[in-house]
Amino acid sequence: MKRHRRRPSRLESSINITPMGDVSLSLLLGFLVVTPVVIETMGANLPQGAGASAGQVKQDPVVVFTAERKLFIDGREVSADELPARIAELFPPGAQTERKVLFTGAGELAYEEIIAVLDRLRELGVETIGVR
Amino acid sequence: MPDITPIVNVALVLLIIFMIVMPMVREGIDVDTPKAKTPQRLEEAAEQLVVLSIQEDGALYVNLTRVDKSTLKDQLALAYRGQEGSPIIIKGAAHLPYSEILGLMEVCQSIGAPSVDLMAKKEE
Repeated sequence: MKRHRRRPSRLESSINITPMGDVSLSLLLGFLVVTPVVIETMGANLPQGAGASAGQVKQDPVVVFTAERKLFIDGREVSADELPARIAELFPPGAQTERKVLFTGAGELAYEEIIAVLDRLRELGVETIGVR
Repeated sequence: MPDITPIVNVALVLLIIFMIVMPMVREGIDVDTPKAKTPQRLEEAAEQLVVLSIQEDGALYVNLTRVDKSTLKDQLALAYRGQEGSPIIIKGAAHLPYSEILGLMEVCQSIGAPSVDLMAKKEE
């Protein structure tokens, strides 16, 4: 014992980096495999074949956002304050109907303004938005 | 006992490279997307979906490849092949006129995509 303390073995003179190697290799694997992809989007359905909607029994409400930033629902102008009431009227709470609207926006407007309108509709409980 | 110092060096360097590069690759093309309060999270195999990006200056990308307006439809159809029925993600810059996005939607529709997902940032 005494001899050991006086003259430590030369073989053990370096730091043991094996655990560090283990940790870094597993971190590496972790980064390779589990980088989560979080994509946040607003869904929008595209119109399908011309005949598809011809035989439809119930017409979905049409929301139009004009270049003057006015909102029309089924041809009637709706102000921002009236919108929640109008949406509630179209889709009564508790009704089993699909909460779907068709949306048309003026091409001159900025994309972010259109997204803001879609966002507001979504906030008020519209589930599906068709774009045309 | 073999000397494992070099392998640790390599692993650490790779680790650092992946930490830096991975988010950039995953994010795709850098586009200033509009903000929204109620975006939905797309989780179903999102990395397999086709991402159509349009930057502020109108530069178009299908996934990570730069495309021309004239070749857009072909390139998009090529990338979309085999995923009929799934949405195409449109990543558009917030300040673009909406007509540009409408044009892209039309192209998506013409190659048979039933819906598009408009990428938005979650508003804090």
